[in-house]
Amino acid sequence: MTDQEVQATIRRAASGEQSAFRTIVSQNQSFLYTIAYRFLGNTADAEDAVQEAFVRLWKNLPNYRPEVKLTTWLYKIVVNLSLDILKSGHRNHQKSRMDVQSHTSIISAEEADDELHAAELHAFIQEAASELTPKQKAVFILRDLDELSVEDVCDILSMSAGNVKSNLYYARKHMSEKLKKYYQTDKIIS
Amino acid sequence: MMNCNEFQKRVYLYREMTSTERSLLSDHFAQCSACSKLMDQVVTANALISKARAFNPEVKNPERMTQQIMNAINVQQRSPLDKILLYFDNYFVRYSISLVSLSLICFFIYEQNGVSTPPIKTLSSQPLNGIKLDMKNFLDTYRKRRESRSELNSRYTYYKTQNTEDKL
Repeated sequence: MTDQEVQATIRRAASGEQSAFRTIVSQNQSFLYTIAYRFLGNTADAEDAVQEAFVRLWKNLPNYRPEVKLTTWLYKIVVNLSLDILKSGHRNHQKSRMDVQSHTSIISAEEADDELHAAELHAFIQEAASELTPKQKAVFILRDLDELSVEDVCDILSMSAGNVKSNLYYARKHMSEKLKKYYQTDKIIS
Repeated sequence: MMNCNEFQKRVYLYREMTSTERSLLSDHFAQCSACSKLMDQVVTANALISKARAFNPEVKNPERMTQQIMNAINVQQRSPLDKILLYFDNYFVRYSISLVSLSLICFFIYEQNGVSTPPIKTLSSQPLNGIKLDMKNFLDTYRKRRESRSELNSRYTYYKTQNTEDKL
């Protein structure tokens, strides 16, 4: 889909055309779910966050400014929603752990060893990231897991570059120490 | 001159550094084994994070999820009033309304304290048909005025005749 086609679809959706909005949903729900899952760590909360993000998008589409990329706007909505959920303490730690295990078992049955290792690592990283503050976690996920540029992270989180780097420093330091323990244990086992 | 603590802080932000800063850090690694070791640890951690990036949690049933979202939107379907209100949903309008409301509240409090308004006289609650006109007193005023006027006239006539006689 070209940029012009995307803009045309957004305009039609903003005027209330539901089929156009369905197209937007089906094209973006997957990447939004990935972000929400990385923040929240369980399927139910991630699905709720994605649903709420699209409801907010639908409500605010008449205010859409074409100079802002739709994906950036969606990023902002879902990240803020996920941070709200994390701050509210709604997330159930035990539930999250079980959910990661269920994801791992699905992959282990169907996918190769590399992917299993990636899923295990992801689960470990998620566990370690849950000890970070919401801001540190957000910066870490967006910059290191989603590989967004510092400018995009600043834009999405409405933070200055200095603030982003400061949070990134503490997040990476924490993650590095945790991962050091992980690969040391891993080496001993293997 | 930077010390090891400052270099170690920079190690974690290696990806965000400029090429000049990176070369400065590389020079320091050649001299400091502790910082070099830390860099190795950070590189290993980055490699593991890159590996974890390959795991993309996916929606189990995308079609069902899309349908759920569309159902949620139908529940939240915008009414014509919502559409109008949406245009007013911005910070300028919100702050303007707040300012006007605050001004009105201040004005109301100022008025209630009675600083600027004159005292208001309350009217009698007695009905008007309770008042009786005393005709004697009422007409007396006119009668007295008429009498004083006729007396003045007679005096004037007297002086006038006197003056005429004197002239003759």
